[in-house]
Amino acid sequence: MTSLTPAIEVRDLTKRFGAMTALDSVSLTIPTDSITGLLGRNGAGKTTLMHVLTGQDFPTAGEARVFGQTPAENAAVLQHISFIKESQRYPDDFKPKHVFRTAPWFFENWDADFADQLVEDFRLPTGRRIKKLSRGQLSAVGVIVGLASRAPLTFFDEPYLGLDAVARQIFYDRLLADYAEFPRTIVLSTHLIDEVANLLEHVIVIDQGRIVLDAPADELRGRAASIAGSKADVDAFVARHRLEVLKRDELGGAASLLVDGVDEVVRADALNSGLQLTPVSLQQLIVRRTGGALSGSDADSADHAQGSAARRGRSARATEGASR
Amino acid sequence: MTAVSITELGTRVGGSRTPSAFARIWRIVRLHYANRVSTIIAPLGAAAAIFAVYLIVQAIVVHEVGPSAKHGEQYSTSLVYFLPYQVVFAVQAMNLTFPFALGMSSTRRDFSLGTWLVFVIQSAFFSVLFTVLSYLEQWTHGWGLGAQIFQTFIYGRGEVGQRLLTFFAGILLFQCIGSVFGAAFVRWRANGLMVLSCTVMVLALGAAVLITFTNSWAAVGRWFVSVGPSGFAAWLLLPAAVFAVIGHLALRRATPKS
Repeated sequence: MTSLTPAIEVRDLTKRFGAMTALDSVSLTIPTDSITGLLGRNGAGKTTLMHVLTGQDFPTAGEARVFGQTPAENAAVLQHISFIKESQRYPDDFKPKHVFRTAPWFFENWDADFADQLVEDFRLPTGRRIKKLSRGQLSAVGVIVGLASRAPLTFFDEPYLGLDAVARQIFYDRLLADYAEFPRTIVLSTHLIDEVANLLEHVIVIDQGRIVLDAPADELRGRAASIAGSKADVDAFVARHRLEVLKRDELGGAASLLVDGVDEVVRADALNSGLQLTPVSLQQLIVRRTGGALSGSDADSADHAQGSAARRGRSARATEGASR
Repeated sequence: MTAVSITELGTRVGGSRTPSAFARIWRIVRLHYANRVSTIIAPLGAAAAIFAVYLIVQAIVVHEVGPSAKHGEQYSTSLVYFLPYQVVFAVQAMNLTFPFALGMSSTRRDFSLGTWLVFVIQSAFFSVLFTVLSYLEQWTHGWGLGAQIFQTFIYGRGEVGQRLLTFFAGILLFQCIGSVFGAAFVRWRANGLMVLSCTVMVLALGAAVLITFTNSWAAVGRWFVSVGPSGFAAWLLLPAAVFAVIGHLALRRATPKS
């Protein structure tokens, strides 16, 4: 890892669409030459954040800086960005070969041989009109552009909708191999958290337009655990270590708690206390942090208002999508 | 805290510089022409179809009434149908390519200027093509049918310069009008088109009402005569420029919709 300063710096970024707040005073930093997972539920604000960071949309308030500059309408910044999104539209009669022929005009690091190899790996018919491609093949077009463009900053927004398990594995393998050879900053947004968990060096979780987690992946992996034992012991233990309870299951006198904030000290103490402590997956932690949490535990009234506004916006967007 | 500066990054990724403004605009032009169907084949097809339909109708007329019918066809408007098609062409060019160009990390500014350059290229190409055809039409006595498709008053019948200018300005004007509609559609979708269409209608009606109530139609007619065909064609470039600027400004804040 190099000690370069961050590729992305966001401070108090807010984006509203009418009454709906998609991003609510978001602040975050994404280090240069890292693979960052941008995770969260549908409509959480992931795509909006990436739209602002790639200059496709304009912030309502606050600041987003990419390589130290504002990305919107800034050719000097944008030339270093490749943004692959699930909803990318292509000119009507374009075939994949048109996309791969035009991409090098825009991405100076484009590797045509790498693109050809990926076309074979994904078994993509390059002479078929994009309109006629299956969902998975359409995703492959984006994935190939994202990888072969080798842009210093590459965003993958739900890049593999419709890709089968084999194709997804190819994507992970190629991404990791190429990243090792050509280090760059990669932001990956996905719902398949467990699949990418080992790829990620940094994790940002966004929910209802707010950042709920922002930490190195290694730190997060050990942070959440489930503790099982007698109810009294478990409760005393959790209180002693001031652990945050994300989920609670009870059966008779026994309890099983999903907690956040586990460290070495906690682990050692659990061993001594005879409590069973098992680490949980990144996906489990994130599910519990974004909507699967104990209801009303830490949500104030402002959160509720925010949530319903976000939901209204989501349904409006869904309607728009259906009418397309 | 200072972030990686662009120059620092440039040296890291292989001594790259930002491409010149013209290079960035020119790749948008190439992008439009990468899809030959909508930029080359369809416009040529539209012109050919209008040409063919007119010739067939003219053949029928000549067959039924005899060659004398050509006097009634002096002010044929057949090629006028090519003009509204330019609006469609412009809207399509913008709507189809805008989301892709932004997906390729282009700026709106570069996209808008590149698209406008495509309009100029299209207009120049068709003005040359139609001028050549207008002379062919003259030498073949209207394709042997006494037809006047490319040399009626509105398109110009004078010398070569006048013909080129008239075709060029007419086509460019309608493409620039199309760029306003295209930008409105890209930015506000169907609502934008609706509001814009109503605005245009109100403005046109308002102008007509104003001219009528001030009894100025005669003055308008005198102006047409005084500027002459070439002068009129040159004047068309002014509204074309105004529409191009409006379209450009509207596009600067547009976002790609999915």
